Amino acid sequence: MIDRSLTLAEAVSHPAFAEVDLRLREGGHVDDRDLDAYAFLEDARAVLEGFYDQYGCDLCRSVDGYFYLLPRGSTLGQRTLSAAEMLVGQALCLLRLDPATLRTSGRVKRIRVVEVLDQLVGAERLSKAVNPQRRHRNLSVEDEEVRKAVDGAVRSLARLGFIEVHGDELVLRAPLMRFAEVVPEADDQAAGMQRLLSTGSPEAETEEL
Amino acid sequence: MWLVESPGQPMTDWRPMSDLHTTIAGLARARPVLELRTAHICLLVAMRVHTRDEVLAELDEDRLTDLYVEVVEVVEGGSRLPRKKARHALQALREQGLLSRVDGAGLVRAGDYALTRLGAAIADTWLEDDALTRDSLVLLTTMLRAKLGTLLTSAAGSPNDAEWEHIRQELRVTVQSLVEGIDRRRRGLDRQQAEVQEQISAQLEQGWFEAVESCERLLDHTTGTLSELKDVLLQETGELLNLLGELEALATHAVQDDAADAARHAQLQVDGIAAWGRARHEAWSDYFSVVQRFLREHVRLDPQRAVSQRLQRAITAWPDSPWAFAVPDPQPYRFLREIEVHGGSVQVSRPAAERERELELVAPEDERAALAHLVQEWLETRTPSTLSTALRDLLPGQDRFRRAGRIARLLVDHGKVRSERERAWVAVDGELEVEEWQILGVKGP
Repeated sequence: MIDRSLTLAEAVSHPAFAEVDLRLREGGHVDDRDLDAYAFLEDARAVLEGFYDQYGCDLCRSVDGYFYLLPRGSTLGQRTLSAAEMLVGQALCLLRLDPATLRTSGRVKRIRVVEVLDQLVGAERLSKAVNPQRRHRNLSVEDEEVRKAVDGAVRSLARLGFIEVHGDELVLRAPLMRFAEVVPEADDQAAGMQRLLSTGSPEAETEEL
Repeated sequence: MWLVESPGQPMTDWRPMSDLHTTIAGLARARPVLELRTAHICLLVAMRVHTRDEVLAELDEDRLTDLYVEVVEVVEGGSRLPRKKARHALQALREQGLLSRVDGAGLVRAGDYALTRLGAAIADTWLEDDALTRDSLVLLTTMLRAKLGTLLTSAAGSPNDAEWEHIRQELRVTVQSLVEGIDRRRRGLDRQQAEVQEQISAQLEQGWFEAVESCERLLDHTTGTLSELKDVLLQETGELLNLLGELEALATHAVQDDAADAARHAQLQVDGIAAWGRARHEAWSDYFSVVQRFLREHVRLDPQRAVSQRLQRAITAWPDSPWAFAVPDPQPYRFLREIEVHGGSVQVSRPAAERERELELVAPEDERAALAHLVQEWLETRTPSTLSTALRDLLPGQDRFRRAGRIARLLVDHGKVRSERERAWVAVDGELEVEEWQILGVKGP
């Protein structure tokens, strides 16, 4: 554990730095399930904020207790999550907020994600959302495409540190709450979208939290 | 070697895999089948409850029939011909080995029946186990400790072989029954914990913010019970293991292998209980922290469940109002490959050799003239005939296909040939068919 009054040189030479740095640059999120990395970021936060500012990124710490990098420009490169990733992320976030998930200590079956999306979006609109250029009207082909898109999104979200995948079970981690933090309200969707596109972060979604 | 738990044996009696295969093969030959209706299971449970405190755990046929009628009354709200159905049900249970006749009177009179081990196990599965509490645990372990103390005193007094056998039996039976008592109660505790988890989820589902305090009370109560149990378990099992260790040492010193084995076996069982206590406490600690965090971060901070509602609205709005957030996506470093400059071009060469063949002197060969001569001879001697005959006569099999055209041409040039408008195809041999011509003779000058 490093001292809070450390310099940038001490933070960069810390054994945890290389791994944490790579994870953050790849879009990863660090929460307290990874205690060493989380403690390092807590202690080195002040100096690392300035460090990542040089790369055009903000080192953010959420109130839910996780760190991530928010790109302001293209110095490090940036991408927006795909429709499938966003939908699956929101569904997982909803499941995390469901008291029923407490029975399993924050673990859900992969099939629950598809069930929630099917229930809230509907098969037809879900297929359109994950594959806007679809040509097939064959239902079984469309279902297969949706399943593949969900599986791909689950893998991608696991790489970004939102969840852990253990076979058919998904462990829901705190960074999933990022999908709830940035939900634009219906009245404010256009403005939220504009902010998201321009800054990568909608700032107005804090009134109820 | 793979070890498996053998059915019908005590928990720690292990058999090698080959024995398991023999057991399974024997079972498959016997083709056992269990088909139980709800009324059957209820009858087993009712019988178990009725005979639990009896000296002889058996019921005569009349009482058993009455019991079945009572069960059907509760389960199905009565039935036509209930006593007749009861006879069928008892017969089905006997045939499946769940009920056995124990009086041995045969046809002389109506029999007495008891649950078999299988029947009792099925009934026990549906009966509530007592949950493990601090008091019941202390009582059980105190009894076990007292018994082990007595056995240790006996073992220290230089017992003979018969006395060692008695110690072994006592160790096996007493420890086994007390450990089973703890085991049964710990299953009850597991069930209680599962129920508490269900209750917490259900209360939050129903009341959300209003349920926070009752959930915390449930959590605290169970956590307190488990912590107490863990402490008692660790302390008591430690003492039990010490006593069993001493007993094993005495048996080993007296070269009483069976007694030493029994002591080791008992240590394993006690160790298993301690491990269960630790594992259950750890699992509950995880659950405790997850629920506490949930209450703190989601329920208390969002008493109206506004976040969930917003999320639901956002999901429902897809794909009409798509939105997404950004994450860093670094471009991979590009490593430009160095240009590799090799030395001068490589000369392609091979060793010098004489490539011209020596000329040979051979006799001149005029195939066309020789063939024309053969055709001329054939026309003079074998006509009138047909083209297929000419081909068979003039050429051996292997050359026939290759030279058929040339011979036909020579026959036309040197002979008189006639053909029908509709010419028949005639097989010359297995590989060749020709349109048949008539060869009349040599062409005149």
